[in-house]
This record gives sequence, structure tokens and C-alpha cells, in this order.
Amino acid sequence: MTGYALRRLGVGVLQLAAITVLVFVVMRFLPADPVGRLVGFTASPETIALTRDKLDLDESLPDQLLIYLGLREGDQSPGLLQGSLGDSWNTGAPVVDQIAQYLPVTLELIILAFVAALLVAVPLGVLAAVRGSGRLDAGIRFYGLFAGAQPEFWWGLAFIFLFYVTWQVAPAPLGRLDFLTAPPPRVTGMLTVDSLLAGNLAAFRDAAAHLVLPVVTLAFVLTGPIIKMVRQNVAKAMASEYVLYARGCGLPTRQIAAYTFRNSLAPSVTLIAILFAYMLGGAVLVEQVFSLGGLGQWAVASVLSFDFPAIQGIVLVITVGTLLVLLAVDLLHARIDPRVAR
Amino acid sequence: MTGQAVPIAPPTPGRWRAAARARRSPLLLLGGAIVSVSLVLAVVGPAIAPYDPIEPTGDVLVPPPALGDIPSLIAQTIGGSLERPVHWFGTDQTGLDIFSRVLAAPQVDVLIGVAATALALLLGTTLGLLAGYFRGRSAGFIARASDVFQSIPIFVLAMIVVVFTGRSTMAIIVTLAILYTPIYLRLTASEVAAQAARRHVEASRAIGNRELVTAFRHVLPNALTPALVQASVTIGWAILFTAGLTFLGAGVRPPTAEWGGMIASGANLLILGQWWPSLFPGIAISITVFGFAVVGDRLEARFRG
Repeated sequence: MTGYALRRLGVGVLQLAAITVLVFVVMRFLPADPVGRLVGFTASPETIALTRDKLDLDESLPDQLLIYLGLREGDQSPGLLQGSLGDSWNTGAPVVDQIAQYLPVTLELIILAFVAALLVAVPLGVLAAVRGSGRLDAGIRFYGLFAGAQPEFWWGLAFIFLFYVTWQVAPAPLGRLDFLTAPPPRVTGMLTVDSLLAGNLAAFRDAAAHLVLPVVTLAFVLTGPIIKMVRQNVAKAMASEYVLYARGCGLPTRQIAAYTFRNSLAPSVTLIAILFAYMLGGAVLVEQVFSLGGLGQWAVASVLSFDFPAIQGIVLVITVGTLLVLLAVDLLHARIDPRVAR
Repeated sequence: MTGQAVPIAPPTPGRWRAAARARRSPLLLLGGAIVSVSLVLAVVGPAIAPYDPIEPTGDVLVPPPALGDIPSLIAQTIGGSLERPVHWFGTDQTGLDIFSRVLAAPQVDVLIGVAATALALLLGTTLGLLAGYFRGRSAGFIARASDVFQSIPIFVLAMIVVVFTGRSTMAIIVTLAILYTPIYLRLTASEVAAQAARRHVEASRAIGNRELVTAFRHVLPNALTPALVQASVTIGWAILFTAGLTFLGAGVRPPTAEWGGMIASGANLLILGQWWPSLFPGIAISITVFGFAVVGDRLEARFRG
């Protein structure tokens, strides 16, 4: 088991290196002009040359990569191996600090959204599979298809229009707290957690209220694919011979469903993990609509302003997150089914 | 389900069979209708729009007509007694006619979806055929490549490529095509591997056909179904992706009529109670993508059992 975990971890590090280099090279090959964006298009040739030098863009591609990795001295040093992701070309702030600021926002949003989506989608998926081919099954499938095919940013706006503009029961979609609420001292960066740790119930209520609509919006579109996966996997298990045997023995459907649920859990967990990893960057639309200031929004701003170090840092943190989630799932599988680890 | 008697339908002539199936699946009929309309609009949308979709009309932020006025307005439109066409969905803050823009947008959204999917289908099935047919030599590489691909932050990478190459329609099409190619590669490769073991493939080899001829002529046609079934779903995803990118300001450039961009430009007005600029394009995306998803789902249910 330990050997398997280490082997998987090693492969993960190689993947991370491959993706880091890939993004590094792709960004520099595409026809983007970060210097022009930074100094303006009317800047003098000297300014442009100076900026290019400061950003190491006058170095050859392999040299730029070596500097980024921290294997060579350059203006952009220190590099990755010295534990630095560089400074943002836009704000000058260290990329690491910005990750620490934005990542918890996204994590808080997607963790809550996944919990909400699973609470709704798993029972519905199991129900649809167990009841097979009835009106209930058709209804749940219809809902799943619909939810999985929706533009979440538009639903977010629709919810804002109904609950904030029309009925005025939701807070303004302008961030994570009201202007008048003092934020709790920063521990995890997730406001709901930090406010509870500080025992600040007013801040907790405010943070939670600001999260309701974003979480509901994201959870709504997530229920689509989750219902489909759970339903398919449970239906497959329901068609197996041990279920036929259990039926033959006269066991009640409820009990049979409980058996199949455990057996169909494993494949569902993998797909849900992949979906979760995708949401690290994919939650951007909901973040944008509710101005939450998460990782995705920062990614959009960085890409639009050609902020290479920031983009590189974002790709790195999302890739690490993805690899960790997939690793955790694989280890979980190996735990459930020892044949996997061999 | 296992253990239950399955009624065997009597054979029916082909012509009736399609109609009978459609009657049994009203959902497929609905999805098919939505898909057909959106495909037609992708071609003729801008031409049948009452106003030029990117030319301001001079009427700024006109709300849509009240529900009660609509019948008489329709009658007047048909009778031709109106000086200028009605703003059925109102106008936006620059005076663009929203109805015309909603009709014209499929020429961007649906076209990108169809083109990206067609390209991914072409690339993915070709590579998948080779990978599945010459399984021994390629299996390891494909498994490794798909592992790496799985952990790439897709959304960010797509955004980088589209923005850095100037946010052209072509850039979006190619990016999405590359993004979706692995799906078709995997679907085709596994189906090809199953087909390659069949007798007629062996026969083709036995009469001396070259490997590539056997692969393309005798394996591929039988292995295309899963990929073709997936196409409808992928078109829907691509439309959502395009609209999402443009909503973020990282997709096609304004003032191009595009649903996601229209929603973005109407988003700020929403707070002021002006809901129509973002409502109608949203409904258009919602219905269109749902239509493609339904068709994909029903086809999948039919061909994969």
C-alpha cells in the first residue's frame, strides 16, 4: 500500500512537471504581447527594452524556463526550487500570497456546493435507478438532463434578480460580506470557518447569507452530471446476478438497494472527484456573477492582462489540487479493493 | 431489467418504425425540434432578423411589449401596418434590438459548437482507430497521455489559448476541438478493439488487404456509433463553453451577437430592474443546450441499451 502510494505520488510529480513546462512554453509561443500590455503601446523603445529585460523576456526560452525553475540566476529570480512562484507582473505582489488569498474562497464555494449537490443528487440517482423505467425515473432523468445543460452564470443572475432585486431577501451580490461587517481574523481564509473559530456569529451569519445563492447556483448545475453517474452505476449493479439472487430470496427492495449502493459507490466517487477538480477553475462563472473574488476570477484577470507568473501559479495550484484529489481517490480505491494496488 | 420478460415488437416497415419510435419518445421529438431550429438559425438567423444585429436602432433600453399588447402587435406585423418592426425582446443600452441578436447568435454559438465537434470527431476517431487497432504499440502511451490530460486545468488552458491568439472564432473552434478530441479517441479506441477481434476483420486480412485498408474500411464503419452518439452532447457543451468564455470577456469580441456576451452586457442593468437584455439570451442558451443534451441522451439510450 505504501509502495503504491509512493509510486502514484512519483507519477503525480512527473505530471506536474510536464504540465508546468507545457503551460510555460505554450504561453511564450502564442502571439501575446505582455510588454505592450504593461507599458502601453506608445512607450519608447528604451522603456520596452528595459521592461523586456526586467521580465527576462529577452532571454532564450530554455533560459527563461531555467530561471523560472530556479536553476539559473535572472531578474525574475528566485524560482520554483527556492520555493517562489515569482511576483505578479500586474500588481507586483508575490504570487504565493495571492494564491493564499484567492484559493480558500473558491474551496469554500465548491466544497459547500458539492455537499449540497450530493445531498440532493445521490438520493435522486439511487431512487431513479431502483425504481427503473417508471414515471419517477423519467422525471428524475429529465431534471438531471436539464440541470446538466444549463448556463450557471445566467441562473445566478436570475436568482439575484428574484431574491435580491425583486424580493430583497438575499444580500447584494457584491462580495462575501456586507461593507459594515468586520471580517473575522484570518485563519483558513474561508469566512464561514474563520468567523466560527473567532466565535463571531454575526460575521458567520453574514458570510453564510452571502454564500447561499452562489452555492445553490453551482449545486444546481452539478446535480445534473451527478444524478446521471449515480443512476447509471446503481442501475448497472441492480442488473447483476447477486441482486437477482437477493430478489429470489425475497429480500425487500430497500435492502437490495443498500447492497448495490455500496458496490456502485466506487466508480461514482472517481467521477465526482474529477468533477470537483474541474471546478477549481470551472467555478469562475459563479464567482464572477457574485463578485466573490476567487481563484477563477483571478485567473480571468491574469489571462486577460498576460500576467505570466500569475497564470503559471494558477495552473500550478489547480494541477496540484487535481492530482491530490485523484491520488486520494486512487488510494481510497486501493483500500476498498486491494487488487488495484498491485 | 434482468429476470423480466421483454416484449418483442413485431417487425415493422422502416418508414413506420421511425414514426413509431418518435411517438414513444416525445422527449426525442422535442430535442430534435430544438436542434433543427438552432441549426437552421445558425445559417439564416442574421438574414431573417428584423433589425441588423450589430447596428444600433436609436431606441435605447426599450422594454419588450406588454403581454397584453402582443396579439395586436402580431396582427399589425402580419398586416404590415407598422412603420418599423416591433422590438419583441426590447433593446439594450446601446440601442441594439435584442430579438434580432438572439436570432443571429446561433451563427456564432451553434456554428462554433458544430465546427469544434466535427473537428474533434475527425481527429478523435482517426487517432482512436489507430490506437485501438494497433493496441499493443499504443496502449501505454495513450494511457499516460490521458492521465496527464486529466489533470490539466482545462478551463484556464482554454482561456489562455483563446485570449492569447486574439479571441477569434477560429481560435475558439480549434481550442474546443483539441479539448474534446480525447473523448472521441477513447470512445473509438475501445470500440475498435472490440471490433478488431471479429471474423470479417480476420477475413479481410486473410484475403491480403493491407492493415490500414482493413482498419479504415472494415473496422471503422462498425466502430463509429459511440462517437457519433456523443456528438450531440459535445455540441451542447461547446455552446455552453463559448457562452461562458464570452460572458467572462475572454471569448468572441463585442459587438458580435453572442448569447453569453449579451448576458454579460445586461448583467449590470439587472440590478436596476432592467431584466430583458440578459433574460432572453439566457433562455435561448438554456433551451438550445438542453435540446442537444436530450438528443444525445436519447440516442445513447437507444444505441447502448
